[in-house]
Amino acid sequence: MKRRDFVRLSSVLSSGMLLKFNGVPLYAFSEENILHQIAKNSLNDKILVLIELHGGNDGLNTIIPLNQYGLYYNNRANIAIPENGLRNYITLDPSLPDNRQVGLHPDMVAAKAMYDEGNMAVIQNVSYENMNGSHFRSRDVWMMGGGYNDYYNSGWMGRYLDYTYPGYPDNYPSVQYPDPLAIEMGTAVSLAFHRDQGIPAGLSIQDPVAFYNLIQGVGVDPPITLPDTHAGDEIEYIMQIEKQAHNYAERLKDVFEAGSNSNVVYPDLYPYIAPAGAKHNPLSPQLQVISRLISGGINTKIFVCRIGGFDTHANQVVNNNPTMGSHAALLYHISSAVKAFYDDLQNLGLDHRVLTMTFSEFGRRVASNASYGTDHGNAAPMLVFGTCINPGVFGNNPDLGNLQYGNVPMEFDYRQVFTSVMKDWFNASDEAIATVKFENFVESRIDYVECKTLSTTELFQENLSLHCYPNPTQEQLNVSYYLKQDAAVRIDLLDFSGRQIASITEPPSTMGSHEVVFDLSRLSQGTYLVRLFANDAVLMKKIILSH
Amino acid sequence: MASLNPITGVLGKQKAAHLLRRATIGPRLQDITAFSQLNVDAAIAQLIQPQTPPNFPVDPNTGTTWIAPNLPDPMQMVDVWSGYTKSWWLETMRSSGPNLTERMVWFYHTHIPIILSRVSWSPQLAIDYLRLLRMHALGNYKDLVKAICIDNAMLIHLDGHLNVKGAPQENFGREFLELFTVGKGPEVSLGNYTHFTEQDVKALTKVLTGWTYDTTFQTLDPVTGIPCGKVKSGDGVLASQHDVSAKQFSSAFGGNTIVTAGASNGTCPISSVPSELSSVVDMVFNSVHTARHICRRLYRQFVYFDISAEIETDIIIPLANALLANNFDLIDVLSTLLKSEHFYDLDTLPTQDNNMGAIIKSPVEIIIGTMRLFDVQVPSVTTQLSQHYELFDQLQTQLDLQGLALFEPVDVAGYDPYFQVPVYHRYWISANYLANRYKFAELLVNGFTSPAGATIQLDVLSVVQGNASTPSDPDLLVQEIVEWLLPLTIDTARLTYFKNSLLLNNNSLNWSAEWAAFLGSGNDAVVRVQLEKLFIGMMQTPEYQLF
Repeated sequence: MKRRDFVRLSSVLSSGMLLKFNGVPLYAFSEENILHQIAKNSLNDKILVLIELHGGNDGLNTIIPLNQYGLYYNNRANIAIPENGLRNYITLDPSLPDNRQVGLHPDMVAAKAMYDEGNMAVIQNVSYENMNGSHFRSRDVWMMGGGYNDYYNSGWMGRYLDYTYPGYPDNYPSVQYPDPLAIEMGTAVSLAFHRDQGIPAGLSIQDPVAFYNLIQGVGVDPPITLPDTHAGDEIEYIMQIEKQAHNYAERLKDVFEAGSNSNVVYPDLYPYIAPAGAKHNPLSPQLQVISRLISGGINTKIFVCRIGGFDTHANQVVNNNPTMGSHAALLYHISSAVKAFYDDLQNLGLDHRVLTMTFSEFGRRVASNASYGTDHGNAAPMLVFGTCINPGVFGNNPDLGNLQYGNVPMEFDYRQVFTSVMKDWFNASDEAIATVKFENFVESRIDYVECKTLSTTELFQENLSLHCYPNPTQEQLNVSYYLKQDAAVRIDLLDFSGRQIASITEPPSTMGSHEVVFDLSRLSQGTYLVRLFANDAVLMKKIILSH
Repeated sequence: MASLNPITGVLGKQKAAHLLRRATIGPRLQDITAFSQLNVDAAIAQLIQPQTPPNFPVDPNTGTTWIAPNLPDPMQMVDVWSGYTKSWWLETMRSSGPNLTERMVWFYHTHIPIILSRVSWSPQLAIDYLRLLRMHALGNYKDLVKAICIDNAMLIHLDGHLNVKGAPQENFGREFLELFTVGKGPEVSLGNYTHFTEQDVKALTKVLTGWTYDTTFQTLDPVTGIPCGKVKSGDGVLASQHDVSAKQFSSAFGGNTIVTAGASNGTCPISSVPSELSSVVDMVFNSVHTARHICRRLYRQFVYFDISAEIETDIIIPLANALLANNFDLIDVLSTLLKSEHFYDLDTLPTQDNNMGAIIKSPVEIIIGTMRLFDVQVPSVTTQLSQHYELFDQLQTQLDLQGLALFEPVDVAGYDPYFQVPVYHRYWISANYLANRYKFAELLVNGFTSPAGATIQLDVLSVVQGNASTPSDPDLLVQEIVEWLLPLTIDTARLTYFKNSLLLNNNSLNWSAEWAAFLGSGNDAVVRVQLEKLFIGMMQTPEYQLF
């Protein structure tokens, strides 16, 4: 908790929220009590990019459970990713325990590279209780943030944004919040951004400049009075969308034009065999626009991209080669586009602000059908990307010998996964989380959000630094740190699950540079964390031990 | 309470316009005039007059259709023919008379959709699907559903042709229950959706085994004469892939068991398979939920998206009971609704009833509806076919920009605005879509032009000269144009705005003098510019988005 508070406070002070006001004296906002407002709503500069895999992704051909390869193969021999050969699965991480040993689809080379850099996590077996096999109802459930028997008129993101930005849409955009609260790439706004009442909190765009030109060219004065009828309600709704479009069009254009992508080339064509319609990467252009908007200084919290074609009832692989075809192309598109996105963000120095995750309304049946496809299933893995995450595999491989109606049963509720975004990524308050209706998932949320290093700004503000070397190490680890002033210091060694393994007793606590040593020779190899407390500030470093 | 009692008396302009807006793809000005003289019985009787089906589309390169026995090669033309098919459909909508048929075809397409690109490899399939919808448009809903189960396009679209004994393919069976018939009720336990269960999906899927498509188009539906699918057979006598085991349904269908007639040695005569299909459709239609589900869909299409408890009790349940009693003569029930006090906002108080102008137009109603309203002409399909297609291709692009990928819904459930909670028709309105709807008004007035110079253009001056009673009187003129364009009563301030700001160019013109000058000199420069400004402006309002 302490660390979270620290990160929250410092990022409020250092984030774009205030930096954007270059040249504008702060007192101009005193009436609106901006600092109070920001503190209350715990805004940081973190951004969430969600990628919806539309149609129900075949999780078992995405993340292959290696400890059960025989069962996996027998259930779906006509589409199974082979164990051997030129295009066999890619072993994700040999150091994982047996029941977490997974293979990636052979076209996910880019994802493997991200994992190896510590920038990808897999969350296994995500679904919701009493999953029903309907695309539509399932998508509604994921978007609205409820359970199988809930029927909310709002989405979880909409409720979060509604809470965080009170008075939307009337008070927005404002000098403090000039940006759309959320942007859905493409042209439609999904249920996820719908608030309990009124227009959605999200805005849909494709090309910011064309959008601006279009908006500028149309429309006349809206009516002044509205009839008290259903028709009047619709007119009001349309007027608000119109206003929202005008309000944000110019800002988006400015931000887009101020921003730029680095020289990273975003992938376009799937290089192997797939139907013509599946060859082009639909995600690349969406992520490229997002990257450019972020580099231009946008402070939109949530972006949603969509990639369709996952309803693979038939012919998800090509004849005679289960490693190629429409599903393989989709996995290639996701993995290669996300890698390019992070390479781009890294070049721009923005990667630590962006968390990206995939989700799909459900996974698919374990057994394939005779038409080289898979029918609707239940739980499936989610992929998380970013430079501020705990890499690894969360959850165990599904037990393919113990299925539920032929499907992978749920291990994690999808709300456990999204609650981590709320609490650990956005630093949402308990009240905000309750408004989102995720309060029952806080305790069981999944610990995949973790910034490996704090940003320079944050370090500067706390006058604190931590360095661990060599890393990876074989037995001895040197921990050096710097204190700008005297402080109560504690240094712990944690295992990857956060359990405390060892502590340094009474480390030096005076102003200046210090170094202590951990002996790791008796520990088993793997990933560990070094945690430094200095008064209320906390820093963490991930280290790898390999004997 | 909401009332299904019929209204009496001559309709008058407002009610006639309301009826025609909802029951057709949009009225022409002369239709409103003609219908305003009728009472509601006569009006409905005219709307449900059977129509002659349109001629098949013709390929301008060959001068022939691509319908059997003209089945063409090479296959690389399929995308072109898909485009022609859509244009043909749009032109059928545009040129249809004041009749319910094309509205019902659209309704059924939104309810039982096909994704064209899944069947475009055999380009007659999409046309036959539309023929089937049109054939049953004014007929019996159960007959349509029986036919759609073995429609060639549907057998491909929802993978029915891959559903064989021993390897069930649930795609069609599941959507049949969830989308087309009983719909999902509350999920009372895992796999039990009240109106049907997972057991029923599996049992129904078995009933549906053993069919395939026939793209030689030799198999004809004995009732409609339209090509359909056939039972798989090796010897032309016995069904080779039909599951002849007993199919046990859940208590949702009375615990009914469906058996295959004449089953022996794991097979059955071909004729047993369609009769088994007929039995299972009868069984599903005996469930009260099928009637209620389709009545709710009708209500949303024709009246308003929100079905309150009052509407459920006073409208949906009585209509569903009538539908069960008349064995699914849907048009009879729809006629009751279209004649009702409820439909015309004439129920007795207290009621929330105010449905006129309360539905947001789809892009079809914006584009084709506007062209119909003013009888905008298009290049002839007999003498200018290439240019006709070129211009309709441009109209398809406009549909796309407004959020309707015609014949290409993202979901097998169809287009979001017709089923997606919570806001249904509001999904037509995003910042982008709305701006493109507004933009269309300007494009139509400026004219769409083909490379060879043919145009589709709304000539507002001709419209005014041909239809306005006293075009020299600016007040009367604006009032009349408002009545043509807008589905609700407009207050004086709004009328004044349209007149002063748009027609009179911010009050700088003497309209009567300008009109007289135009009549005297034939120089239309001033009046045309102002009328265009008025028409475009009025079409770029929230009010014009409604019907």
